[in-house]
Amino acid sequence: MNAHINLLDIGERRNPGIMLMQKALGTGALAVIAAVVLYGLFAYFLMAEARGRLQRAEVQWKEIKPSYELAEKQVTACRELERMRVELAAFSNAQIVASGRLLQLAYCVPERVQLTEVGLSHSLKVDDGKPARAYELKIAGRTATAGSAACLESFMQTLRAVPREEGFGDVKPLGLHVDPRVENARESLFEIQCLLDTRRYQ
Amino acid sequence: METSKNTSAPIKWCLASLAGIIAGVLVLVYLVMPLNAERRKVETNVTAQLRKVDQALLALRKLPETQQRHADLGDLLEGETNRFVLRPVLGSYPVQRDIYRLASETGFNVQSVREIGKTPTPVTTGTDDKQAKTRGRRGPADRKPAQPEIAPWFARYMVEVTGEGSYAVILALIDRLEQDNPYCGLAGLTIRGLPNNVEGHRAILMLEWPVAADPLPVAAKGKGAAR
Repeated sequence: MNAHINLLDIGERRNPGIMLMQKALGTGALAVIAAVVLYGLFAYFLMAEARGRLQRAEVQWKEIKPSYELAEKQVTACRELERMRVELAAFSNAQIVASGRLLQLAYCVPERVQLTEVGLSHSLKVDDGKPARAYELKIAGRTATAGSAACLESFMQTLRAVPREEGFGDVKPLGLHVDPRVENARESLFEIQCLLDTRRYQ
Repeated sequence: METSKNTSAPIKWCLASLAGIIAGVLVLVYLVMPLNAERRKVETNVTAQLRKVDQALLALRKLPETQQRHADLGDLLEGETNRFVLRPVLGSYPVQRDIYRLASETGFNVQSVREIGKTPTPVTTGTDDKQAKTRGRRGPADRKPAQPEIAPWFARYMVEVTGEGSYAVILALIDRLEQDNPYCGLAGLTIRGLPNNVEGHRAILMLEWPVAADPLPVAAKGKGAAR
C-alpha cells in the first residue's frame, strides 16, 4: 500500500490555475509597463531632439532673415524691371516694320497696275492664347480691263512670294470690276486684302 | 474556507496586473501617442523651417548675381526709356517737333498733326475668350464682355499726321520715323492718290510712341502682376 503524505499545511495550499494566471498576468503587466516606459522615453527623446533641431533652425533663420529680406527685395525689384523690359519689348514686337512692307509693295506693283489707295489697319486678337495684333493691308488700284484677271493674279503672286519677314501674309482678292467712269470699259478696279502675320505682345 | 483565503491574494495580484496592463495601454494612448503626433508636427515644422533656411541661403548666395542683373537691367531700361519713351516737356509730349523735323528732311508736306494723346495699351481683346472656351460650344452672344487687360508700364501716345507727298517721300518719312525711334510704330495708314497729281498722294499716318502709363488702380495692377 502506497503511503500518501501531504506535507503542505492547509494554509499553504494554492490553486494551480490561479497561480498560473497570476504569473502570466504579472509577467504580461511587467512587459507592457516596461515596453510603454521604454517607448515613451524613446518618443520623448525623439521629441526633445526634434525640438532642438527646430530651435536651431529658428535661430539660424533669425540670423539670416534680415539679409534674406534684403535679397528678396532685390529679387522683387529685379523681377519688376524684367517685366518692364518684357513689356517694352512687347510694345515693339507688336508693331510691324511698315516702311519695309511699303517698299516691297512698290517693288511688287506691275507696270500695268496703278494703285489708288493703300490702307493699313490693325485689330486686337488672341493668337495661340497670347494677345496679339492682326494687321490688315488693303490695296486698291486700277488696271486695263483686257487681261485684268491675269494681271491681278500675277500681282498677288508677286506679293505672296515676298519673304515672310517683310511679307504680305494671306493675300486675297476682294473684288475686280470694270470702272464705270471710264469709257468703253477700258479700265477695271480691283481690291486686294493682305492679312499680315499676327504680331504677339511678348 | 482556508482554500478561499489562500486564493484571495493571487487574485488580488491578478487584478493588480490587469490594472497595470490597462494603465500601460492608457499611458500609451493618451500620453505617448499624442507625444508622437506632436513630434510629427514638430518634424514637419523643422522640415519647413530648414527648407526656408535653404532657400534663403540660396537667395543669399545668388545675391551678387541678382544685384548685377538688377544693375544691368536698370542701365538698359534707363538707356532705352530715356532715348525712346516719350516724356512730357512742360506738360506736352514733344512729338510735333520730331514729326516736322523728319518731314522737312524727307520733303513730306505736313498739313495737320492731331495729337490723340495717351491711350492705354490693351493686351487682350476685351472678350472673355477663356471662359467662353471652358463653357463649351456656345454662340458669340454668350461671351461675357470683359475689361481688357492693360499693360501696366507703357501706354501708347497716338498721333495722327495728315499730309501730302509722293509715295517715295511717304515711305522715306515712315522709314525715318522708324529709324529715329525703334519703338515708334505705324498703327494705321491710308495713302490715297490725288486727283490732279499723278505723283502726289495724300497720306494719313496713325503713329504711336511708348509713354509711361498712368498708375493703375491697385486691383488692376494685381491682375496685371498675376499675368
